[in-house]
Amino acid sequence: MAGAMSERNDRRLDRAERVLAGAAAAATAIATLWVFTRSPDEATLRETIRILYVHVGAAFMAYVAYGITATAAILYLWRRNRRFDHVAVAAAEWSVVLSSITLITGSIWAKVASNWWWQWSDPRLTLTLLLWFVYVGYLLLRHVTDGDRRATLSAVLAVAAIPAGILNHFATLLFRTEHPPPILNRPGGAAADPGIVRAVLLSLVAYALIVGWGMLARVRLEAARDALDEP
Amino acid sequence: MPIEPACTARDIAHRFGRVRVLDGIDLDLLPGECVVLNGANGSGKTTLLRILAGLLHPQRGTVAHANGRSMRVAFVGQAPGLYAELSTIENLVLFAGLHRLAEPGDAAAEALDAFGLAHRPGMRTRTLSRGQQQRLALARAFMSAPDMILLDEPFTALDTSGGELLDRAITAACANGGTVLFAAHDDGHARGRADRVLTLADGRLRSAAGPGRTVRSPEPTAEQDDVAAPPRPAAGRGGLGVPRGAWLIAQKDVRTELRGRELLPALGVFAALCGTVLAYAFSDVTPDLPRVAPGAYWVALLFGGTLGLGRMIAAEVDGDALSALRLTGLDGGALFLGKWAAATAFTLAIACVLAPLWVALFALRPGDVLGLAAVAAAGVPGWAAAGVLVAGISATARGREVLLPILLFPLLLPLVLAAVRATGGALAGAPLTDLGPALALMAAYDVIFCVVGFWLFPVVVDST
Repeated sequence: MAGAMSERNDRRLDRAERVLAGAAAAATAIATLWVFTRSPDEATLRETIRILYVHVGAAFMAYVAYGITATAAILYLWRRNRRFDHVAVAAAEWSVVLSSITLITGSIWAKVASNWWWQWSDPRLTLTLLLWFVYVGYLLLRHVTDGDRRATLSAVLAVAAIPAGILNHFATLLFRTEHPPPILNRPGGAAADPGIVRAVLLSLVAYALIVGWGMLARVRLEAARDALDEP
Repeated sequence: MPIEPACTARDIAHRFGRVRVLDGIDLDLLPGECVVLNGANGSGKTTLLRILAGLLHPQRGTVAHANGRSMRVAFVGQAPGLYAELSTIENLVLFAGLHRLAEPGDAAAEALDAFGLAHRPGMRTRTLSRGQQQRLALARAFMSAPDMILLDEPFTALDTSGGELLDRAITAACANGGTVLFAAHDDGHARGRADRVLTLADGRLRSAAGPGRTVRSPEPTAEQDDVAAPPRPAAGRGGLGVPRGAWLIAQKDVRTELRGRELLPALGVFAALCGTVLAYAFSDVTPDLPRVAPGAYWVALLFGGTLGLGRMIAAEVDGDALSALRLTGLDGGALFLGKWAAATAFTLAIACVLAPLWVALFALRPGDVLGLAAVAAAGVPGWAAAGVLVAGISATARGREVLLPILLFPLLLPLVLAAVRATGGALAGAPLTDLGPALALMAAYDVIFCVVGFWLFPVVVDST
C-alpha cells in the first residue's frame, strides 16, 4: 500500500520535473531572444545593459534561495523532518551558484558603468559577499559532517546567519552606497524603458523556472541518498 | 509481581554511513541487576551504551526510562572525560556541584576514597597514570549514586586492586537498586559479576543467564545482606539553575587557564605578532599608520581570540568530558553562558595587553589605550557569543581548525565593520554622539548573538 503510494508520488514528481524543465528551457529561449532582438539599448550604458538581465534575475533568485534555506532550517530544527533539510541544502547550493553569478556580473557591469570592479562601501555588494561566504561555509560544513548531525549543525548555522545578514545591512548603511537604485521596485514606478523592464521580467521568470526545476531535482536526489542511509 | 524495568529499549537501529551497527535491538534493564554486554571490536557496544545513556539519538527505535521519569544516568566511555589541569578532587567537586549533591566536598572525598585515590586529592589529573585516570572517571560515575551506570570496557587499564574496587562499587550500586551495564570484549569479565550476559553480534543481541549471580529486585535479598550498601548521597533531583551552571563552567575554565597558563600567553603573543607584521607591512605603503590601527587591532584580536575559542570547545569534546557534563543534566544554555563568560574574559584580557602595544606600533597617543580597550569591551562579548556557537558547530567536524574561521568570520562582518568604525572614531577623538550608530550596532550584535547562542547551543550540544 505504502509502496504503491510512493510509486504514484514518484511518477507525479517525475512529471512535475519534466514540465518544469520544459518550461524553464522555453522561458530561457524566449528571454534570450527578447534580450537580443527586442530589448533596446540604454542611453548611457548602451548595449552593456544586457548584463543587467543576467545580474538582476540571479541576484533576486539568490535572495529567494537564502530565504528558503533559512526557513527550511528553522522548520527542520522545529519539526526534525529530514525533508526540510533536503530543501535547505538544495536552496543553499542554488544560492551559492546564483550569488556567484551576481557578484561576477555585478562586478563586470560596475567596471563598464562606473570604472570600478568593487566598492567595499557598498552595502549590497558586501551583503551578497557575506552571504556567499556563509553559504559556502554551510556547504563545507555539510561536506565534513554526516547523518543527523550534518542536518542539525548546518540548520543551526543557517539560522545564525539570519541576524548576521540583517545586521550587516545596517552596518553597511554606516557607509555611503555606490550601488545604482532599483530599476523595477522604485517609488513612483519603474524607471527604465518599458522594453528593458519587460526583458528584466522575462529573465526573472526564466531564472525562477530554472531554479524551481533544479531545486526539485536536487531535493529528490538528497531524499534518495538519505533513503540509502536509513537503517 | 513483575519488576518494572529501569530502562526499556525497543527496536533500536543505527548505522554509520552505509555500515549497519545496530539492527532491531530490544532490551530491558531491571533495577538492581548487573548486565555484561559482550561483543567483538566494532560490534556496536559503545554505540548501544551511548544510545541507552541518551548521548546518541538512535536512527530508529525508542529508549524509555522507568515511568518516564528523569533518571540519573552515568556513563564512562573509553576516554576518561576529565579536565587535565584540575586536581582529582576539583574534578569531582565540579561534578558533585553540577549534580547538586548536598555536600560536594564530602561526596568527592568519599568517591576518591572508594577508588583508592584518597591519598592524591590535590594531584593534577594530567599527571595521573592511565589506570588512575580510569579510577577517577569511575569515581565520578558512582559518586552521584546514579539509577543506571553504563561502563564501556571499564576494567581496561585497571590493576587488580582497581578491578576489585570497581567490583565492590558495582555490587554496592546494584544492592542500592541501581542498574549496571558494562561492555566487555570477552566473557572473562562476566565471571562472578553478571546477572545476565548479552552478546552483540551483527547488530543483534543474544541473551544468556549470567554465570555468577541472579537478577535481584531493588530490595536486597537475604543473600545480599553481606554486601554493604552505602547510603546514597543527598542529591537534587531538579535541574541545576542556568546561572549556577554557567558560573560553575566559567569558574572551571578560568581555573583551568590560570593553572595551565597555556592559552592566554600563546594567544597574546600571537596577537602581538599579528600587530607587528601588520604595522611593518602597512608602514611600507602608508605613512599614516594611526589610520590603519583600528582595522589591524580588530584583525589581530579576532585571529587570536578565534584560535583560543577553538581550543576551549575542543577541551570539552576531545576527552569526552562533554558527555559527562550532559549527563549531569546541565542545561546547554548554561554551558553556553559559562563558555561565553570565560571567552569574553580571556579575550578582553588580551585586548587590554594589546592596547599599549598598538600605541607603540601604530604611533598612537598614550591616551588612546583607553579608547582601544573601551571599544573592545563593547565588541568582544558579541564576538564571544557568535564564536562559542560556531566553535560548538565545528567542534566535531573533520578539519575543525580550518572550518571554525571559515564559518565564523562571515558572521562577524557586521561587528567588525561597526567596531573598526567606532575604534577609528575613538582614536580620532570624535564625540560620543558620532560613535553612537556604530556602538548601538555593536550592542545590538552582542544582545542578538547572546540570545541566538543561548537558544541554539543546546541543539548543538545535543547533536555532538
